[in-house]
Amino acid sequence: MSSTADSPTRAYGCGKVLLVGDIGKAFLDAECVRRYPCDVKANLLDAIEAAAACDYDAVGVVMNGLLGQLGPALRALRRAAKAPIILLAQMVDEPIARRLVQRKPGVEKAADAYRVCPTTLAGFGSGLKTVTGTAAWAQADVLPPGVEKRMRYLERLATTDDLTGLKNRRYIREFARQIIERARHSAGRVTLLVFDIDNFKHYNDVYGHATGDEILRQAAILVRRCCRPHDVVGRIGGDEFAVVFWDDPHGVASEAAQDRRHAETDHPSEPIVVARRFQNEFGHAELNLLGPEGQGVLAISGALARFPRDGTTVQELFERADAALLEAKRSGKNRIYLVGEPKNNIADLP
Amino acid sequence: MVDGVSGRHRVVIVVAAARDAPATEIARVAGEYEVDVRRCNDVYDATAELALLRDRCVLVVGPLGELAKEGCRFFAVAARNSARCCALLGAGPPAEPHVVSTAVRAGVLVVGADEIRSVLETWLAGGGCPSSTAIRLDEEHRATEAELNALLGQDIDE
Repeated sequence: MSSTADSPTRAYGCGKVLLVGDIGKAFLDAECVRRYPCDVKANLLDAIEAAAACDYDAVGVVMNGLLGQLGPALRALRRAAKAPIILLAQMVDEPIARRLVQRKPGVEKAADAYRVCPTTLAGFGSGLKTVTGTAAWAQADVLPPGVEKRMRYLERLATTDDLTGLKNRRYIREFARQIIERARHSAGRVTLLVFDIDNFKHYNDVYGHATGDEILRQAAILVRRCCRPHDVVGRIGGDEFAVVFWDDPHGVASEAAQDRRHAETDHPSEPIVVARRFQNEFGHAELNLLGPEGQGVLAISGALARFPRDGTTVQELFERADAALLEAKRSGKNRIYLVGEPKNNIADLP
Repeated sequence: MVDGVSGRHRVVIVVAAARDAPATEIARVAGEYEVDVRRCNDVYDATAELALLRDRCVLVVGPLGELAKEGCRFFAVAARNSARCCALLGAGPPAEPHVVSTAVRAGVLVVGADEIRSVLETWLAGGGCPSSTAIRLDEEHRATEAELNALLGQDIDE
């Protein structure tokens, strides 16, 4: 293994995997890096240079701290490396990683796969085979067959709601915590939407739990469809859902939209648009299980809380949103309140 | 081609957005000297281009703010690949004052866009790469650093 020597002839040529960025933040066993045939570059430009000089089997890019320039850097890295690129994403970077590995018409995808960190060097190495088609690291060095798959399965179980396929409460709260931490340092904006289904107990009692489950699944599909790709949606309780809206540094929002999002006194326009759209679509959803008289009766109540205006921690944001949600229920249901606004029903906002 | 000066076997990497006026002018001037011109959108693309252009005599020209991204690391990459680096002031995103000093100390020629023709001619007039031109450019760097530091109100540490 070679690490950061400056001479290209000395540094490159002996490794099969190039790791880029702060590997200490990506791998639980980063101190074991010398056991594996890989080169490590802390800087993107050094990595691009190294990739052009050596035929790597794969490139692993730790996204943490590289976000601002990741798109152009990955394009250049792909051009230089001609090897599969695997992103190593912290939970908070997963929505961006997911988008970067998606294929778009006429555009080469920026990376080939992503893995959520922290992971292990061994696990990363064993997973390379599925991406690269070749075992970049000798099997003796990596986990036994099947263990990596099992790890991924357990990871999915720990973060996903099995009924709806959305993220679960644990994931939502941890993601919100991480994205708030990032927003705190980058003057970013985060908005939390918490909502539940009005009269859900009634549907469960009258139509049965299978119908109740189907309502939850339909709500999950609709809310996911209404949100932007990078927004994170989860089911956090029985019929309670949450959406974390945040500023995507790679988004294509117009300047005007950016300005609106960053104006301290203004409303979080995009979350409000999404919440209204979802409320409307859910209210008109056709659910055959409810019978003819049950069409168009579904409704939600919810609340939007904004960081940093309404709270500076996950706990505060959820508390404010929960209180506003309760107020929305008491005020007649079928409404979404904006925390801290005198005229707080978003249906009344311009 | 301009009489007496040929840019064959040499490459100018122009780092700028496609419609950037100084970049277009650089490409035009370089074309007059039959220099191979490669356009790159950003410093990352330029790094890939530079690293893939092995054994060629390369001059990289681009806005200082762009070239100085990633903590001015590109200047070291250029030096490792024996490429000359010319950073334009007043083009592209503004650079921090300390970046000017860092660039000059790294051997980067920091110039205005209107000086690019003379930079190209000086570079082309050199016999090889690196060359006597490099020495001459280094002398100019010192003058430039002194001028810039005077403008920025900074002391030169000697």
